Amino acid sequence: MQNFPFISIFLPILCAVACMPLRAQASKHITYGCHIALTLLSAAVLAFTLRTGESFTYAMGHFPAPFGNEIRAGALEAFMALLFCLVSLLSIAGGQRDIFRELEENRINVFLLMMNMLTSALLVMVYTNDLFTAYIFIEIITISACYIVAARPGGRPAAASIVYLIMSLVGSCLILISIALLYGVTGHLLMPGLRQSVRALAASGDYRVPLFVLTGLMTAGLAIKTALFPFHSWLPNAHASATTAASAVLSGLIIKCYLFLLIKLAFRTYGLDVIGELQIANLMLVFGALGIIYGSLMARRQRDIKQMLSYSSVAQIGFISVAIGLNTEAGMAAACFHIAAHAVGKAMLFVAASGLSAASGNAKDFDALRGAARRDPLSGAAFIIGGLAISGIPPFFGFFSKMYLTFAAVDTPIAGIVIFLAVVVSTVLSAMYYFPAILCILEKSDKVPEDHIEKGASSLAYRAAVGAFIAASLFLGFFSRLVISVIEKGLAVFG
Amino acid sequence: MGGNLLSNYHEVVSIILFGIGFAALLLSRNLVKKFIGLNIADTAVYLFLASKGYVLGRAAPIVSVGGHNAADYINPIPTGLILTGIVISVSVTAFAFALIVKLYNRYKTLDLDEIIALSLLEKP
Repeated sequence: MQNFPFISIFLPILCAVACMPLRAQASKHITYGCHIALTLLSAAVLAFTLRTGESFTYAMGHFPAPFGNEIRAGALEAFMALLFCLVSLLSIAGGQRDIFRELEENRINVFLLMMNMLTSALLVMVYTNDLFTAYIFIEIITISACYIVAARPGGRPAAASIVYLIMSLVGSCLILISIALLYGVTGHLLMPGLRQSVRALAASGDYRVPLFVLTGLMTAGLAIKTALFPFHSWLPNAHASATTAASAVLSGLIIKCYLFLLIKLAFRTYGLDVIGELQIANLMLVFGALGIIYGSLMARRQRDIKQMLSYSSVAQIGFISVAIGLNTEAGMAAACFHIAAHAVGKAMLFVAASGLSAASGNAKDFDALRGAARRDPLSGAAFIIGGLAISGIPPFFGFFSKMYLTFAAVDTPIAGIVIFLAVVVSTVLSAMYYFPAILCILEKSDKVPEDHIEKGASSLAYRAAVGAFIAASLFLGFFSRLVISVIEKGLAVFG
Repeated sequence: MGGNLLSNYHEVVSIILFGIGFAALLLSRNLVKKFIGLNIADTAVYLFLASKGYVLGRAAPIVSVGGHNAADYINPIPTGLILTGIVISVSVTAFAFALIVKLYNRYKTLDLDEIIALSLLEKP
């Protein structure tokens, strides 16, 4: 059981290598098999960690602590791993038709290779206990994420991909400097050692400026990669011009894993009090709040459904970062819940949007999508549930993440006001763009492009994926108490 | 102050190099120059890391038969990190140039602003 996290990191790498010489169909089967296996492995780890109630450390190659590198798994990590694997699997299944329709035949196996690498890298970000391993896999995410954007033929994806690549590299450059400085002042890269040194430094007041600078650089680097408000400019084009599976994985998972790494750093190496002293939390709070407003206002102006969903991601990232900026354990729990909720919700919205546009002659702007929910009720239902949930309408998950965040904010006076405003504003603003979209796809449309409707749209994989997405999002809504208790159990042994 | 700068000249040089590279990455509109800038910035960080790990007068940690005294060697971890970092920046640069070739064949320009403007004219 102890080596399950390692196996679940290594298996997708092997599958990725195996995809290289194979044809599209064979690599598709390998990718599905790999993701199903990963989901089961992560579920087993989750069950194990929930039963023992503790987290365990696995030293890679069995080198003792100051050497080698470690992975660490507790209930929170296992829950996130399960969620990431499941959403990744469902996104590939839901986007399968678009992968085979939009991509060139000889690119499909490389695309699936990159999807496997992304899953592996996501699991590393969840499990790793070593800062440099995290950096290496951040770069792997950079390359594979840019590839899956550019894999779709045409100029727009390639141009969006190079902007994404440049921004990501600026971010990783900052992260690398920060790691170099951190190693310089502490002499550690493993998180337990880092924790001791950083807390000793913070208590003694030595190296105050380097510590402040490097923490700022790390946060800025991760913020660029996660598209937090002033650094969001690359996101909408990259996410909107990718193929469906890529958009769903990028928007649902990739931008979240950096925030998860940030939560991990805050908990495991700094401790929340030191993060608060260094003013990082306040920055997250302010920029998160600005991101909510900006992302929502821009989302309202979009005529293209995928652009709208991408800007909505900017707003939701702002929401998560506001929750992190609260800098309490309850705030972090709310952030983790919203990471989970938005991962399921946004991936579902992207997949449902592909179904809706398939039922409207592959158009993506709202004029053409008029009445699409009547032509494809399953995708319509998924889009409506996703839209209502992200706007925060009860009984769906978005309401509960807002509720937990508000409960968490009650004790903190000033931050509490910001958070209360953020919750209200984000609800109103997201309703302002999701409701018109929902009404538009529900509208009775007189022009019915019968000849445009592609029957292949409702393949078995697509319907199964959308069904599972709906089930998962309803589960997150109706059993939110269960989910949040798992997260709280995980956070208790996270630090 | 001046003495500090002089005795820490590795760090000073690496920060200047980093500034040059980062400015080229952010300010230059030519994609090839951008990635040259990125490589300069990365190399500056490697220089910084290497100088952190180097201890004057000690040998590279290649343990031969016999002497196993840790005090004779420099810290190998930063060197290991640099090796990994070099591999990463090579692969990232290779990928970036593959993309740049693709974009150049399509738009016949290397200017990022022009490429973005032209690409937005295409249908999504």
